[in-house]
Amino acid sequence: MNLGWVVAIRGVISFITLLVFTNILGKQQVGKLTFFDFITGITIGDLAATLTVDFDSRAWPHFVGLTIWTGLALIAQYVALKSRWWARITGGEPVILIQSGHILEKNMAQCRYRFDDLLMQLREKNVFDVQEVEAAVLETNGTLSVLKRSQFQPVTPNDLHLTTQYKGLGTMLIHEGNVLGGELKQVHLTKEWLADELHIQGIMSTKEVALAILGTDGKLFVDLYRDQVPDIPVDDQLLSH
Amino acid sequence: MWAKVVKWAVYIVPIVAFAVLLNAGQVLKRPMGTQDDVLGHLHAVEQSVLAEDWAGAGTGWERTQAAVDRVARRIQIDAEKGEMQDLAEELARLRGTIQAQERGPALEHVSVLKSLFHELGR
Repeated sequence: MNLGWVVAIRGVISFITLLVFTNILGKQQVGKLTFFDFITGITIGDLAATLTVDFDSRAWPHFVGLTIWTGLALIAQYVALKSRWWARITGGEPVILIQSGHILEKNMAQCRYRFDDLLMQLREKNVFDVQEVEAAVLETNGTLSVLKRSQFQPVTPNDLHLTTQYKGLGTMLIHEGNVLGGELKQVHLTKEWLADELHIQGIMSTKEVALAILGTDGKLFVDLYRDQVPDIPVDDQLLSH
Repeated sequence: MWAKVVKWAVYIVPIVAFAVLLNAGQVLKRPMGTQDDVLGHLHAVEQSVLAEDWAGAGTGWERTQAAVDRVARRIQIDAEKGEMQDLAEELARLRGTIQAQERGPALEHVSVLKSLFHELGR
């Protein structure tokens, strides 16, 4: 039994299997996972690792285990979409930790949450004084959502009754020197228009362009491969030291 | 529609292929010629031992060992290391009993080897 060879083959099998299964399970970000998702992910990863290097048992049972865990996680995800009760069981519920400016110690004890944790997560939200908080909710993924009291919230153009220009998602038109024809068509523009816009900016070929994005204000942002970063002035006295 | 079919095919084809590959041991341990017929060679060893033809049993043992090596290479991806070791150890014991010309223990080891090979990859 050539263990190196077997590990290489099993490694490829478990890598591709894991890639397929994680793609099927979805694209949730690590920071957005609930504790249940996190543990499920760890277990699936562990099963893939044992599939690669555990020779005390056949590879097949590990493969079955991996498939079963992924299948059950997928079922749990679908059931959670349909049933709020199941979603609460697997994902937990958000817990209010501060309401009307009062810290709810009972709720904090229920989720084994310390004052230090609360203060740390408030600081992460740029809140250094608890009195500024109207409400704080501990989300199922462990993050803290904070609603500041109205007098501590930043002023928005709406508060000042100011009208603002619409700003939406831009459209990528050139990616690594290649013109994205589909996107160009979507915004009802032509390659000729793009070439003219680039000429105005002193660019002769799309091959010089790493990235070009059309903003909703009609302006074309262009980033070239040839970066023209202006020199940063350096104090002569600093250099002499 | 076709894009969806291709997407799911990309997911399903490798998984099914791996499932087949990891269960191919039962098929791959079957003889594909005369040189890798482990059970056939073990039977020949058994007959030689019963006839107390120790030279024939020795030759049969060497053929069994070569056949086991060939089969092991084919089924190693899914095989259990312990099972392969047990097979190798039992083969070594059989060799010893053939060299010592001990009829009873030799037959016992042949029987254990048949059982181990039967259970291999199940």
